[in-house]
Amino acid sequence: MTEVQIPIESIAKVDLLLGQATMLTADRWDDLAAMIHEAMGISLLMAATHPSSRPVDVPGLTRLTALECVQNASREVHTWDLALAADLPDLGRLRVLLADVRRELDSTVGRRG
Amino acid sequence: MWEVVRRELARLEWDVGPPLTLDLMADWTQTVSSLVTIRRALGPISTADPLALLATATTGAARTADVKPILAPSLDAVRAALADVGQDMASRPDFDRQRDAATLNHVAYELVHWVRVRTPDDRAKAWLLAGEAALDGAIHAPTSRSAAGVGLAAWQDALAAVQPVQNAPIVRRSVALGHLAILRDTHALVDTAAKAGALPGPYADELLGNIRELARAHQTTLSQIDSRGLGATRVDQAVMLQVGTAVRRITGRPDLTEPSHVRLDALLRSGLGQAVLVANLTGEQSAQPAAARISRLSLEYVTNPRMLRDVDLSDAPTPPAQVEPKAAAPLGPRASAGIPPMEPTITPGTVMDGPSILALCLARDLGVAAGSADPANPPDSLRGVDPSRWPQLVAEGRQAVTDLVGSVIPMVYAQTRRTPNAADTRGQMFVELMGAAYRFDPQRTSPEGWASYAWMTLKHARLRGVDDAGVVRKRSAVPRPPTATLDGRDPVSHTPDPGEVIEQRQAVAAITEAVGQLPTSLREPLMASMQGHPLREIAEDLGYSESTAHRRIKEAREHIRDDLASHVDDRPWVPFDNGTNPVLERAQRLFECTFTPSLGLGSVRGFDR
Repeated sequence: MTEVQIPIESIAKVDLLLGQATMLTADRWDDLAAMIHEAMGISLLMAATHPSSRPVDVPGLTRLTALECVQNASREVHTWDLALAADLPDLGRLRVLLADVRRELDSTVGRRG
Repeated sequence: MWEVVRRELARLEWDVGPPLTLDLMADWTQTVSSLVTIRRALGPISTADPLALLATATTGAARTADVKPILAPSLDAVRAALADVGQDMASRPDFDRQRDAATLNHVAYELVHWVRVRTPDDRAKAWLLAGEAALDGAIHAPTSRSAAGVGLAAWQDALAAVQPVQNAPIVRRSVALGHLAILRDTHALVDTAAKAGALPGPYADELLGNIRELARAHQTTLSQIDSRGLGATRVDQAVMLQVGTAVRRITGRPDLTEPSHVRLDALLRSGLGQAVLVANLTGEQSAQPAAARISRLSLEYVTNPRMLRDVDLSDAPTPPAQVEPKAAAPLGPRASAGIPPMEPTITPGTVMDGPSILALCLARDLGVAAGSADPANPPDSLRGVDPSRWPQLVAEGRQAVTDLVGSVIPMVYAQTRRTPNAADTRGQMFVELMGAAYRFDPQRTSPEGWASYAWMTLKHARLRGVDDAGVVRKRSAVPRPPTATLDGRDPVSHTPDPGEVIEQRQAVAAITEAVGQLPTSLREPLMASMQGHPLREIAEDLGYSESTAHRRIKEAREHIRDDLASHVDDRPWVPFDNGTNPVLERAQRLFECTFTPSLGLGSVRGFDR
């Protein structure tokens, strides 16, 4: 049986992106912020469980908006093998949350113009 | 038993020339260890127990960096007196656990306060205040264990763990991120409470303002951390894992069975996730004032918890007036405090009269009906009841079942006493008992027949061999087990000792929680099975084949068994004893660095190392 490789550096990137999204939405107190926090909690635990031994960087992280952070995190998560669900029990929840947050942020940005 | 402790506490306060210690913190950690030992002798200790929180807070205080040893009166004599109390308890099994637990909390409260006022370092002081506040709350406004409280206890534990590596950017980042989630949760709950009139407006406004200010400070902290290379930061992996687990726990979806005001109560009691400690750990100056004000507001709440009115802040409405299942039931004080239906609201083993049992059965049936009814075509029992009230009825129904189980739960212990793998067997028996509580029909016999019905259910279950993870064994393959006796006692009149009561409450809570945590695909068939539906019907209703339904029920039972087995100890926190030695070593090291033998400290009274 082939063992599925844990995408350690990719997890670290998602952790950075969702941490940044949390920081950018720190002044929001709605349900959307709660979802971002939950996604951040998942990625933080994943990163703590599978720490990267090499420096990980997301170029231009500080210039990203919250929506871009979530979009990039979502893209990153979608590259992960679904068979990782056995190693990353919150993978499904993370995917769902990111999809919801992205949709919600997208519509908010659209409404705001 | 506590006389010597009382005398030593008085001496501590009034002795003009007391024996001295050179490191109060080391002395105190040993004393807390003695306190925890006594608490353990009184019964299982959960992570959210005030003594466990005191132990965590003490670990945090002792790990505070660069704190100089404190010269103070020694706690040796108090510790010796506490050791005597522990020995007395071991030799006298008939002691009053509840009274002794209350006394222990008072002693611990007085001692931690005494130590705190003698501790000059503000950061260590903040830790001790966290322990003091937990005891203060437990003494002056006791509350039951809540899921939010357990999560916040894990958070406090994680904060204590990060003390030695608090300067690492990845740690500061994780702490700030986790605390932002706590602040958001509190903000939402306080906002809702204020709008519902459940919290005084000025208090809520001040709290909300400070929460927002602290969140901005965390934002500043996070913006100043260079994220490049965070992943490669060399920090103790175990510490980060502990922080990650705590953050995941507090950011996870809230337990829907836990009323919002219970969550808010836990948050307020925790000083909103130990805001001052977080501010100290992140090191952001602008966080300090808001955190201090939040801490003050939190203490204000601890001294007057009645300011939070006992109303459910969620949209879950109150049950309809005509249904008062608990009116006749012998309720404990917690029932009126809006405790979630996780634990029985009656003392396990309570003998209930017919009307009480009937009321619980009515509530149960209404809950079952509300859980599966179609609002467009409600059954007769729910006609005229607003569908928005149905979730509350479901919760009431579950609570009624839990109470029914609680009333006869000593039977499980009677049936499993002196049996191998008793814990596993009990888990299965709880499931059987819950099934019986759903199936029992008071019209067929009489409401008072509940105890006999439960007893027979357990007896039959035992003969069927349910102790093997729900797999029924062939009667012919195994010799018939001897009939269990209750030593001549009537099953329901068996009065469990307080230790059993604690164990039983936890057992019911654990089984309810375990069922609640099952995925829907397993929970639905199991619940249907517990409610007495035949396998064929379950399979049809849920759209499975009979073999699939059977497999899922079996799998659900196995999940519950494993879950219960994993909760046997229920102590994710690191045993306090383990954290003591490094502290003592540090104290010894600091002592050797700070005081040279030429100072002649050997003559200082009470210095005994």
